[in-house]
Amino acid sequence: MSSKPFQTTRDFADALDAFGADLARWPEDLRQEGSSMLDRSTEARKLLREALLVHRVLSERLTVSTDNHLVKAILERKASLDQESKRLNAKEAAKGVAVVRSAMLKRGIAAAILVGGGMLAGSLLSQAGGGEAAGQSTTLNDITSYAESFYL
Amino acid sequence: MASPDPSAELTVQGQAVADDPGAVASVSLEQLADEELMRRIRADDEAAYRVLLLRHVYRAQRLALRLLGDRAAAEDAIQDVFLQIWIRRADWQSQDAKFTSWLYRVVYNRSLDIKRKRREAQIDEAYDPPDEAPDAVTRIYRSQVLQRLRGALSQLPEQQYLTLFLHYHEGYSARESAEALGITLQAVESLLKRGRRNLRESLKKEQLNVQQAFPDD
Repeated sequence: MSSKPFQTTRDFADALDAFGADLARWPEDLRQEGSSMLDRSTEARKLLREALLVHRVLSERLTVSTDNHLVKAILERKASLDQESKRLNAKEAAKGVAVVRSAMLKRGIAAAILVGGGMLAGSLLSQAGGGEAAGQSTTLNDITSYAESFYL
Repeated sequence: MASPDPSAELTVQGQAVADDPGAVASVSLEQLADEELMRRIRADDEAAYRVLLLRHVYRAQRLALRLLGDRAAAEDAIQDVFLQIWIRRADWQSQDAKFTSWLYRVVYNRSLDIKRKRREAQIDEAYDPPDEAPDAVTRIYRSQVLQRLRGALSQLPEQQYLTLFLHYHEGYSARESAEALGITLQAVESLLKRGRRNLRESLKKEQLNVQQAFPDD
């Protein structure tokens, strides 16, 4: 905003927008120009009236209670959230342990089946080896038949 | 992480805590910039969170109240905002923005969000300061004009609104506003000017009412 004299009410409006409705806060040279403009222009007085209304609304004081009840409420909700978060984490961790145990148990059973199967196969092969000496076949069908004989 | 008794933590404000070793740390925390406090909060520092909360909660509440015109709704908005600061502390990027600038924008947007929902729910705002108008008719005109201005105020762009709020409501100088919003002094001056102009021009349709409402001003 330059400090040249006001030529029009538009210049005056520009100063109102730049410095506000309180002419006492305007730069000295503009303040004098503004006062002079107000003396001679109805339009300038209308503009000042509008600016004063704007100032009035902008300056409306809305007080808030500073008795800490809001701070207390926020900290309580935060504490509650933290506790819930901890509880969920613990639950998730416990769930994780259970999943691992279950997987280990399943793997244990599978391993036992494999080992048992291996031992059975070894035993069958060893017996089939004896039969081969007697001129018998060592095909898988023979082994299966031999195994099935235990259940018949 | 959780505080067993949140109200007990309020002693962080600084009084009568000389015998409390924890309070010594809190007092020094109060001297830290917001951005440093946020860095500590990212590392789950609850004392830093309390200092930041106490430092900003009431100004943020006034901003929300100004936008919402309802104390309970403003408190809800501020609770949400400050809880989100804690919940999303890991997402804070100090290089992105000045904390106050970020906070005011979040409060502004959260408040407008609540306001929109309240409008959808057809709830009237309870914001009507006492009027010293001489008679009932003048009070009606006055109320209309002031409501129009308040409506226009809440329609201003975010940066204009925040700059006007800090300047008029919080008494910030242009330089202090520039610091809080992380913008230049020239930008603040320009925002103040455009904000005032926008509000003044919102009265153009109310000329008759302005005359009737404030005949002696």
